[in-house]
Amino acid sequence: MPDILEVDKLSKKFGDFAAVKDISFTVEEGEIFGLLGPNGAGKTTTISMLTGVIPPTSGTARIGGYDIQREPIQVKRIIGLVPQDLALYPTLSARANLNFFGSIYGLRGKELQKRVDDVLAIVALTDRQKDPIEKFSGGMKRRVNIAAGLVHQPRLLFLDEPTVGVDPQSRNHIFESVLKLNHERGMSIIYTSHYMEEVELLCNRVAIIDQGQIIALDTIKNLVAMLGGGVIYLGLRQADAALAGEIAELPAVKNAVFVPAATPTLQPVPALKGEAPASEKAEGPIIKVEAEQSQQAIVNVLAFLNERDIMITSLEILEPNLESVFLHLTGKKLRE
Amino acid sequence: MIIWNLTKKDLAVIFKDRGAIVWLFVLPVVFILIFTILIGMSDSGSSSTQTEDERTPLIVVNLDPGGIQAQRFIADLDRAGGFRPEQTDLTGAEQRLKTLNISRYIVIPANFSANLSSGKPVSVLMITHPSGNVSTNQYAMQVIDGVAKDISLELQLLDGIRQMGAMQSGNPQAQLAFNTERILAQAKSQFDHSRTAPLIAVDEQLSQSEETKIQLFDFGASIVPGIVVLFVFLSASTVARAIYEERKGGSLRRLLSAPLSRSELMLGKMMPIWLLTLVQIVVIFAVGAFVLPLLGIGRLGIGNDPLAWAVTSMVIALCSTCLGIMIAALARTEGQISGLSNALLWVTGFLGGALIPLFLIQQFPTLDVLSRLVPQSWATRAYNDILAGGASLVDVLPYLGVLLLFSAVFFIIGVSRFKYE
Repeated sequence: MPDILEVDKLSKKFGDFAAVKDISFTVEEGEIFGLLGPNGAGKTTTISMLTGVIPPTSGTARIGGYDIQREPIQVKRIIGLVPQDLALYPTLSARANLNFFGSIYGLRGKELQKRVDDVLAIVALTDRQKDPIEKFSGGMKRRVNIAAGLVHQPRLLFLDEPTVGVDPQSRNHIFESVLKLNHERGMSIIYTSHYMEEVELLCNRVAIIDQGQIIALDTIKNLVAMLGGGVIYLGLRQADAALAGEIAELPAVKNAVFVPAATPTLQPVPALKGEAPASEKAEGPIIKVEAEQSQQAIVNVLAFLNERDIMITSLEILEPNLESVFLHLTGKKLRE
Repeated sequence: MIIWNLTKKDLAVIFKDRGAIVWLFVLPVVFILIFTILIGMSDSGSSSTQTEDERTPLIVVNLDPGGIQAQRFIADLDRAGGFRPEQTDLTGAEQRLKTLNISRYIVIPANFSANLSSGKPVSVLMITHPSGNVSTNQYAMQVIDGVAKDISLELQLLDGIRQMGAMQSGNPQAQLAFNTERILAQAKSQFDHSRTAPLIAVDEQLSQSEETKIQLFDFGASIVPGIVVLFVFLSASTVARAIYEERKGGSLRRLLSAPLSRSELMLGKMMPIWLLTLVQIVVIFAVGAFVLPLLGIGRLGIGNDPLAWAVTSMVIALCSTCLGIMIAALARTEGQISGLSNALLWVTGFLGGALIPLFLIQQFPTLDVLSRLVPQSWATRAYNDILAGGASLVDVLPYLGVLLLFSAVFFIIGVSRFKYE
């Protein structure tokens, strides 16, 4: 499939602060492409540049063959934006909002009404179309927010964290809508989020972005495969690089890295949700073990340490998912 | 079409906000009514002397200072109770009228006493300033006319009786002809004559001095336009706030990602406020035309050339909304919008003649120069010329040209400096 979006070394600086640094990627037509990263990573800034809200500092991008800086009106005709903030007029009804947003894309008369009916059905708000937005729940407002980005049937839809603050029912409805738009209507979608689960559910390919740079880009399967069978953090009373080397030779172990005892200059090792990080509990160094098969690797490693009479102070297992991939690449959690 | 769609949407949003409607229409009307009533009440032909007598002073220029009848006339005015006569010379009276220290004075002619003594008619003239309170002028005329008629009646009756006496003494044989009935008939005839052809006529005349004409200050024709200009330019902050609310609410981001240019977006934000401002102007002038006369202030029309008034109003509204675009581009927070709006609009409103008549500001050279640097003064000048001077559209084109130039500068700065981030 041809590329609907080509981004080439796009950057954005606000004064001395580089919010986005030379990012490059492409999105195929008909693809759901994820931009995954924590808050402040540069996702919204990237979307803002691509949708013409703010100009890039350098670099370029082409959407549908049109240059975003030289042919902005042509670009804007074929894209839709669902911003992170609710971009609606609260005192107007859902229908009035959609009528307005459809009209600024050149829709008129019966065609406009038909499209509005269509998107109201997609977001399942037909029966509330005449009620003012201010009377809607948060989830319903989000659905109207999405509908407003769809009414002109864009070729490429940018969804910027569309489920923030949304109840589970509305969240699931949003997921269903996104998949339906893509599978049934062939709409290309760029989906940004800091929720791993959403990106894993919806996206074909994911770019992991942190501090303004893309640190990994691939299918979810390939990204997760970076971790092999998982990652095990072993807090030990005493260890060194030689010990890590021996552990790395064990069956079912892909690699092992010695991490010295936590000092102020080192990144603390994050813990699982709700637990204190291992480095806070560990009194000594840590060995990070990348497993081919996590269960077998644990058995082999524990047996090895037992033979050597090396005391284990802590043990954490990170399952292979995007969160772990992010952690593995950056040493940080997606949601701090 | 996009601009019209943006306009319709904003009008729909604005009309859902009832508070905004009150601000837009009711407040200026209340302001005008209070202001004009206060100014009207203060029109008392002020005197520089402080006395315990609280009657309204009436300046009298007695060109017949030695004449007994002139002195009697002034004394009777004093006794009539409505006004307190204050005598001054003609030059002094003219100067005080010119500077609006007084709104009227009367002139007793030099031949007043001599003419009355010889039974010849004479005129007392009341000179009024064009800005004078109509009701007070009418009341003054009634009082002066009443005194004049009383004196006329007395003099004419006495003259009639004197004539009869002269006739009687000249023809003693005919004394029986001068019975009571005849005398009463003669008296009645003189009484009627004094009413239809009084010896003393009182006329009103508008001041003819050039300075007075230049400083033409009809309260209705000056205060209302000044307040219109003030409130129209206050609408600039409404435009700025509308753009700020779009940014804060998030909808600006969606609008910027839509296929419309920055100019179309700004015009779409200006248009609804421009339309509402025009309606606001119509409402304010309607109050001037139909409500102010009920308060005795004087009816405010739209001048001799309605097209001039309409085009001027549209240009002033346009200038205000363009100023709002510029404020939106320069101010980044709500606080900055308020601060910049207040500083710009109230200060320039003052310099522009919105609160103090422009001709008074022009008395001070520095203020006069500064006032020419603000669009409000050109707007006030245009309205003053149309409403008080009867200017046509062609006459005010230079002012409108300046206002359009201001508009262009504001719009260009606003569009070019506007940033989302």
